[in-house]
Amino acid sequence: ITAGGQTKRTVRHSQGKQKGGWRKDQQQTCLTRNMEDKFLNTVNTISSESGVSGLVCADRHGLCLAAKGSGQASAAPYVNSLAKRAQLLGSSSGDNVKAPTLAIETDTQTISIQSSGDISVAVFKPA
Amino acid sequence: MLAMRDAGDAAAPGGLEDIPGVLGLLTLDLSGHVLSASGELSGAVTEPVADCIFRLLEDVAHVLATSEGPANDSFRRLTVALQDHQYVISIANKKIYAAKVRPLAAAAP
Repeated sequence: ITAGGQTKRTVRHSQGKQKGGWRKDQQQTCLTRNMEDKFLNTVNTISSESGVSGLVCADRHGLCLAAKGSGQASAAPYVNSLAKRAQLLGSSSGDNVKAPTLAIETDTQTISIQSSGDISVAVFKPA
Repeated sequence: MLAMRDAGDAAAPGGLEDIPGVLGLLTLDLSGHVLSASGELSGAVTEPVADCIFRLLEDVAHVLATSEGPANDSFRRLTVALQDHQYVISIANKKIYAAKVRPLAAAAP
């Protein structure tokens, strides 16, 4: 506090910082350096496509990685189970090459399910 | 017992064997017991395939129960598309019908 009663603040700057915080380019870098960002961007891209009303992603244990729109997180274990059983059905026929695709058709929607590596994905589309 | 809203008591489908590209047929009751099997779904593969199909439908019922569709949404068909054939599974007249078919492009004469 100065002699006149005013408050004087001293801003300490470390190397690379401007007054008030990080540089803008450093902020941008920090914002994009989350390891799940690439995955979430892909999920958002698919779920925002026209004709897609929902999406569920499950890992190899059936845990929900993402759920959007009409897809509920509680469906994740069953999405994973469906993808695995479809592969069993394929292997019983001697077909081990390509991951099978499931399509569940109802009166109002179609749910397409496929696994790729450790991730199973269900895409919900209105009929 | 499989509990899923299906098309209802539609007439029992007949002549499924005459559908082009059918490689095998399997009929189950709603408890998963095999009622009939023919073609490539008969013999030693009948029981494992029937078990797999029944468990697939159980999981389908759970997915539909958890999705945000309308309460009276009826299940129509499950298709499992593999490399060079596919399984088409449906429920009608309190029975589960599963057909192993060649893809449509390959089935056409």
